[in-house]
Amino acid sequence: MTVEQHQSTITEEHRAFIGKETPPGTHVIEAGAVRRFCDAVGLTDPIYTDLAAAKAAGLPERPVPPTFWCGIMAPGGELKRPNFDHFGSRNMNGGTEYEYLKPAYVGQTLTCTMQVADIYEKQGRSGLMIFTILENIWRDESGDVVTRGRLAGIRL
Amino acid sequence: MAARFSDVEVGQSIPELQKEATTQTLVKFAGATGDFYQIHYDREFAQAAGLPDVILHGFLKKAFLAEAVSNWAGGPQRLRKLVAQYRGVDLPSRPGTQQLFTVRGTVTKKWEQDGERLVELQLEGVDTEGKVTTPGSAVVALAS
Repeated sequence: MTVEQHQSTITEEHRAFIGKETPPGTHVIEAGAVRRFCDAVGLTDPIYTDLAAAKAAGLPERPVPPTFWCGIMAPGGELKRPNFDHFGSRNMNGGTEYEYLKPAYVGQTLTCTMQVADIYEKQGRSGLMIFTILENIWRDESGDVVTRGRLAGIRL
Repeated sequence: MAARFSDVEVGQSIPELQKEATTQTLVKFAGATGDFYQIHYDREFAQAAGLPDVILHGFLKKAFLAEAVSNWAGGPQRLRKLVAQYRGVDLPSRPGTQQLFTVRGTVTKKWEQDGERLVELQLEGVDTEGKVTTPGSAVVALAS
């Protein structure tokens, strides 16, 4: 029995993108932007939009909704990422993960950086899939990590 | 009433949350987040990409998961981790065809770590036909 040599679609050139970070993007958490987000997703809890309600719930300010982060990412255009256009036919968002390390509130100025955290391939039901894991990190004014996000981009 | 750590048992369910997205919801979400990928608002574009209609943004479905968990845990500040996988597409309601997205959750683990009382939930985002399109999980820190 011969062992077939598996030819990886991912080259060393692709792997060289891993760990390259974008310059930080700055975002002020605006009350109006949070209000529009809540309206879009049907989030009716008044703590997000009404300061008095937030204080009544024991919070110092209106909190950032848990998935508001998807709208305030690092400048994606500046992310140097590998190109897999020669492979497969479409891109899909396979899934996302958020870790909440420190609370964030309306009025804060946060910065976000993005990097390619990993690239790997996996055999799926419909064939080979290439995963590009993007990591976003949001930091507050003192440099503490507030939220860490990971997104699995799939090329298949 | 927010869940309390001492009352929570592995295997228990959290209250179901039922959400509905219309095409207007998708346009609002696109505007609110800056995600203008056309498969979420242009039916011809979506169909050319092999989809039956425009589809819900993955992050919109994740917002529904987050809402169900926050409601149960006693607020967004309780969340420590939230994971969602986008395994299947979800369509918006159209006149005459209502599409509902239901979030279910079950407690899978409870433990104490670094002074926090943590609970892990297994989550399911379910479409109108009962198909789990959006499995996920969450970790929350509960009041004692």
